[in-house]
Amino acid sequence: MGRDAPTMNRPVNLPEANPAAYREAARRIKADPPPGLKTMRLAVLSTFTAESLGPYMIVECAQRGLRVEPWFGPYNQLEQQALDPASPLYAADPEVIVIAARLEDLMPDLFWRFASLSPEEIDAQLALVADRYESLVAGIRRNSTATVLLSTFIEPLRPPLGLAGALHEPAPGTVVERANAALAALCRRSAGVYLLDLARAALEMGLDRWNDPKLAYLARIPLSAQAQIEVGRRVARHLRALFFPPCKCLVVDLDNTLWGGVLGEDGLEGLALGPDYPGSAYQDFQRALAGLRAQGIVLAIASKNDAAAAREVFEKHPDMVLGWKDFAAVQIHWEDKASSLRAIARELNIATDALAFYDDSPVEREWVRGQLPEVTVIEVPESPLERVRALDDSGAFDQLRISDDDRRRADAYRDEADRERLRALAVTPDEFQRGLGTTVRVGSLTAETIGRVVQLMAKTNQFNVTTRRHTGAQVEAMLTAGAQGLWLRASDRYGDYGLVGAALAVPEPDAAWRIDTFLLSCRALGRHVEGALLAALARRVARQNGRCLIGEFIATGRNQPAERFFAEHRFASLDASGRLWRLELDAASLEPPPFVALETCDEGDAHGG
Amino acid sequence: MADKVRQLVARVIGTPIEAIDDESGPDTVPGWDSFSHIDLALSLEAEFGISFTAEELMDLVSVRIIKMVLHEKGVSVG
Repeated sequence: MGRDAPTMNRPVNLPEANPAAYREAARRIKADPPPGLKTMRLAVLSTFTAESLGPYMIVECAQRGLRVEPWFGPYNQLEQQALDPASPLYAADPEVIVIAARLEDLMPDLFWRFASLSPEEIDAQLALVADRYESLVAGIRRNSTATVLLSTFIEPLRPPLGLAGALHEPAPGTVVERANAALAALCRRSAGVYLLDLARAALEMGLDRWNDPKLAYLARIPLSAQAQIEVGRRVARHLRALFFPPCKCLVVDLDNTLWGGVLGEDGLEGLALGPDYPGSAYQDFQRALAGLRAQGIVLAIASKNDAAAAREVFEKHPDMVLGWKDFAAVQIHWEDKASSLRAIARELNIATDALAFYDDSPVEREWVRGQLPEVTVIEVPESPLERVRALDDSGAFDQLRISDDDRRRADAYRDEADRERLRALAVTPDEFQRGLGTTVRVGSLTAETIGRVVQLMAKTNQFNVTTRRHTGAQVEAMLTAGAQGLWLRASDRYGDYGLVGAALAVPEPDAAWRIDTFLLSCRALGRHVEGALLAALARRVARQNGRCLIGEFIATGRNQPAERFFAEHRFASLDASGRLWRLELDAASLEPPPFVALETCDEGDAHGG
Repeated sequence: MADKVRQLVARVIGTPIEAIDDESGPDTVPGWDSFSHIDLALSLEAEFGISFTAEELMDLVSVRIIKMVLHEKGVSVG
């Protein structure tokens, strides 16, 4: 391969640039470390799944004379680790701590609701980010002398406001820059805190594609072929926006457009819409539509569906981003879509050439093109991953400038008192939890909710005490035989986590109830949500005159996060192996943990509210 | 070529290639977890110069299925 032999300066050869090769090399380094490597204890806290970075860090560090075995904090738990002296982070005794957070995870509104935020509200959001980092760094300093590396924020692939973003005040890019400047300022006034400039790394990867040194030197063309195409595309989008007015109204289909699946076949419960793929892609598409609406674009629906059933999705599906009221005109029936578009234009008192049409069906698109050539028909890619990109690339709503009049101020963002409260710096884990404002809603398992809970049972590996993969029929049989079943949804001030937990308890002799299933998606960990689920289950069982809960922990090798759950929630161990546990149902066991609001939907309606 | 898929699985998971056969998958091979699954898919993409859709990626649940999907993409893996 022509690579240099290892030396003391370069103790290992770099593998090929693919995961298999890096994993193999990392295993070799772990099993048989090259001599002379200096050991460093590295910890990573992130708002996203970062574990896959492990092999790359191990190999690239070894190449530079360092031996690391990175420790990764649990998913999206920054304060939970950094503020608590007893956290696993400090038990790992790191010498270097990397904090890798995405601005869209910390402040989703800055991306999805940008157009409806005032400059003051954007300032307030940025201040919150700065406060959070201030508190994180102070927490680390109280508990550790580790060097801290803060990764810089990267601009999102698809920024808000489209072409007009660059001259908006403030521009979305400037907002990211200001957040990074706040991190830099924090580094300057803190000892041993530095920036890990991933924003620059992302830019360089892009610039690598943008530049072609061959063309630059030979022909004085400072653009690669790909970059030249992109420049052509940008100029065209600007010219189009200059000479054609943007569409005023976006008309969307429902099935396989606003959500995954067909309402008439899959039913409300069977639609793909929620925090996991492919439902997550449809949710993001809805968020993009909400962003357009905030820019002053009118939304409308043209769908061949049962109108009442469709409306029910808007009112009852808990993972809908858009509400019925977000649509100014609605045509849901079995008539043809060109008629629907004419009716929508009439109702809104605009010409049909001001309509853009977004429908996943090529047949409907073709029909509308033939009947109403003046309508902008957007080409919709089959993959749900590409749907937002297609909306942007169509240029249908491109404007060179978005005035304040265009921007429809959505509901008042947050009241002043609330914002003041949030600005208080969290010093202790309790203060952080209080500021999070976690709300947990639980309800009884019913025919409508079993399907989603069974999916959760099938895929939850980490916080799952028994890892029983029941089928829908099994769960139904258990409920019929008297079991108590609960679903759980959680949200906090940073967003809605969706349906993330479930529990099943079955009655046994002597008023004992055995916990058959108790699980929580790892997205919701670190927020005391599991304690709230336990309290809700205890209440149900107490109402059935149960006197105690029997817990069972079945180790799978993947469910360590649940291993200490029973011990930490006042269960008494019943055997030496740590498998069986018992909790007497006293008043304390019915109380949810502090800082968590527990709401019960007794009708078992997972959709309500 | 026939063993390229098994070999990549073995390299990603860190297991001898003899331990991998056509029926191997996340349920039968210890260590074939969700991270390994993603890394395996990315390694297959790099190795064969192809790209999986999100749906295909989720469906690659055994060596046999991986070979079928590769075959559909015009990669000959025996």
